[in-house]
Amino acid sequence: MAEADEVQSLLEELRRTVEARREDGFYPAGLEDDLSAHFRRIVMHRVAPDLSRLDASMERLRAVPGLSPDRIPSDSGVPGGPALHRGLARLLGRQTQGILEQVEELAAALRAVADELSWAVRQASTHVHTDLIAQIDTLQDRLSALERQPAGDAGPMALAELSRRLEHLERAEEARTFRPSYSAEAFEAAFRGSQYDLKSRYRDLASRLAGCSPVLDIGCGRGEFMELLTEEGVTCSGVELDAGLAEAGRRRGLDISEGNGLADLAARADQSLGGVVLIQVVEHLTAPELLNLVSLAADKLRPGGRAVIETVNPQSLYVFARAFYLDPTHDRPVHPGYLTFLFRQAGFDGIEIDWRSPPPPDEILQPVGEPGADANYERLNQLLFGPQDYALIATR
Amino acid sequence: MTALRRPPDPYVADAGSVRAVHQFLPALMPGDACGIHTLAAQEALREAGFESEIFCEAIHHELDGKGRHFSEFPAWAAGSALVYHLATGSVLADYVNARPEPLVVDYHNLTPASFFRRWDMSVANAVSWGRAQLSMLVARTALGMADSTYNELEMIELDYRRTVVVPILLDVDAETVDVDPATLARLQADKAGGGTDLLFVGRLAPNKAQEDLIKALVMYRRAYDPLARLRLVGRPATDSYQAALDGFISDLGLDQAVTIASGLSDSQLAAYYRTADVLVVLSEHEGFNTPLVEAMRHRLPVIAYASCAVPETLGSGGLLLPDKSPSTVAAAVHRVVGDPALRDELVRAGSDRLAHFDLNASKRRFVNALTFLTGVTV
Repeated sequence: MAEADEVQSLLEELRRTVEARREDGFYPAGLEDDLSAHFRRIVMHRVAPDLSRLDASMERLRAVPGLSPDRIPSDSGVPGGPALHRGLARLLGRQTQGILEQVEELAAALRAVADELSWAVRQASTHVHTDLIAQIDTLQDRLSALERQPAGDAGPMALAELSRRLEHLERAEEARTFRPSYSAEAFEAAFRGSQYDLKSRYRDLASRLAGCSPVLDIGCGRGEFMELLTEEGVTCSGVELDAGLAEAGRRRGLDISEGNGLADLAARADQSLGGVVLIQVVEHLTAPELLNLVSLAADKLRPGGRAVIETVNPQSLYVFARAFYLDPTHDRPVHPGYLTFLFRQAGFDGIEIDWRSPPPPDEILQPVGEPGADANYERLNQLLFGPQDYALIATR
Repeated sequence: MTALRRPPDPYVADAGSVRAVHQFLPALMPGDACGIHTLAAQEALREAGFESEIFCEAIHHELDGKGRHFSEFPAWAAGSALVYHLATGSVLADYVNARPEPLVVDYHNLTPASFFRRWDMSVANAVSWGRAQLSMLVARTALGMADSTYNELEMIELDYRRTVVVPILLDVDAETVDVDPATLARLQADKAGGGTDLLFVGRLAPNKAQEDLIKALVMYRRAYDPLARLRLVGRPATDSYQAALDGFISDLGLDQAVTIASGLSDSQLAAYYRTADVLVVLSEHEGFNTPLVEAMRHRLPVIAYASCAVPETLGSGGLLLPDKSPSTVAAAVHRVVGDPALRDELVRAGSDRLAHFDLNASKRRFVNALTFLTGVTV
């Protein structure tokens, strides 16, 4: 059929013919639907066996009367036959009764078995039906959809990988947003010593920033180091994540804002700072954050400006036995070699490491006066009881 | 995660280095379109100067000697390319996938598994398996070959990078038909008593929707020809579907009017085409449908429901119906059978369409599709 118009008009004609036949009564109403419904019924009942014959047999079985000697015929055409039968029946009555009882027992057991079997067949045939097939269909469709995915497009695998990463991110985020039920102030007071102790501990470090105004103290806590800077005549501001500590510092008249120090640093104008200080902060940072910190410091410090980073010394094993794991927010210790490398890469020179806080003398191994043993103790002391902290001082 | 093994891309030899093209198909069966196609392709390849053998999992005894078991394929076959004919799931797909030679996948369509799930899970699983293998072979395949654009689109959807359509290789020459005289005589005797003969050729399978043909016959007999017959020719794909059709036929009192014939020889089948009045195809899913072409060859008018690859195969060579309500199909049969002018026009259109499937042209297309591998053009 070459011409589309021809085909269209033919189809139109077919529609009119069908209508005419319908009107002329060739097709009873609903015949087409009935045909389809009938075939569907055949399909649906395909799995169910025809149980009508079984039902009929069971009915017949139930209708069979119980066994009785009375139902054994005793009539006879032979003269005197019935009397003979009755006589025999009397003679054999007990034996017959005994046999009948056993047969009746057997028959009852068989009826019970037949009932059970009939029930079981009906259960299977009514339950293995379309709902189950529909479920299998759904599963198979999902399977086919997966199978139809082009090779190389590892859809399900990519999904599993994504979900693995998501879980990892969620765990990391949970760790990042660790919010202890105790206050940071209480923690500082318990483990970092009094404000007086802290100030005496850091006075020398503050003096390294003389003439470096303005200084930004990231993670300034209650602002003890800022007070030392002020005493040196250095103007400074601080950023502190913990609201309680920031507020405590502000009460003492210090310029402390509450927030993320890295964000604060990033917001500063390039070369606008004379100093950046982080006291016991970098061990709380992730590796990318640390990288970010160093490059931001390089941008924001003016030439001659100084970065002062004080943190725990992972080269001293004593640190891990005593201080580091006291604070659950410590992310990872930062090796002085790595920190030096980072600052050098960022263009700082005059990098200096200041070893600080040696363990108390009474905790370190003492010489015993034997040269060989004492040399060994010395080496062990270096490994086990090295300085607990170090400060890196880098000049831009 | 281990790195995914991916063969070099493109997975082809240097053009001209291929001297042999061997074909692999799961089963070589007589009367099966895929087998006929494979044998014709072998002939085309040999005519073009290639060494060409057929390797299978199973070979029907009537075709003994035409193919060999795939275990006989040499472990090292340098200078060979492989053609894998995919129409079902098979261990052969895994076998060719693991071979080093350049691979062509000739895709003959897979019926969606959903058609079979209600009837026969083993058939459904076999086609699902085939579909998974069609995906698996993507990365390994130098050329995806399809016998219809419909099938080619499926390959493209799966990311086959280089694809081509080569019609199924069929002898469509009307002059070469051999008709079995006994079958012809029997069918003509039936016809002498009156009644239109509707014919359908194809496996008894849910996607072929033979129940719709039976419904159309009911309508046709009521409104136009109470003596009309429907002849269904084809092997059952699943026993359960055949049982349902048998039940349907007998419930409708059509035992005399509907006959199911299977296992026919080519010449017996030719007798069915020769005596029928119209070929009616109401399939829900077809990837090509060879009987449409066979009907054209036998000058039998075709009425077909426009689904999947049917419009593409039929072209303008028959009457395509946009819907297949039984009354519409019945009216169409009545119109075609009762109007000699329309019948002649359909037969002429079919003959015109047949040129598209000319065996020699198709053989050339098959060989030339491989030119990028072989450097050979015919």
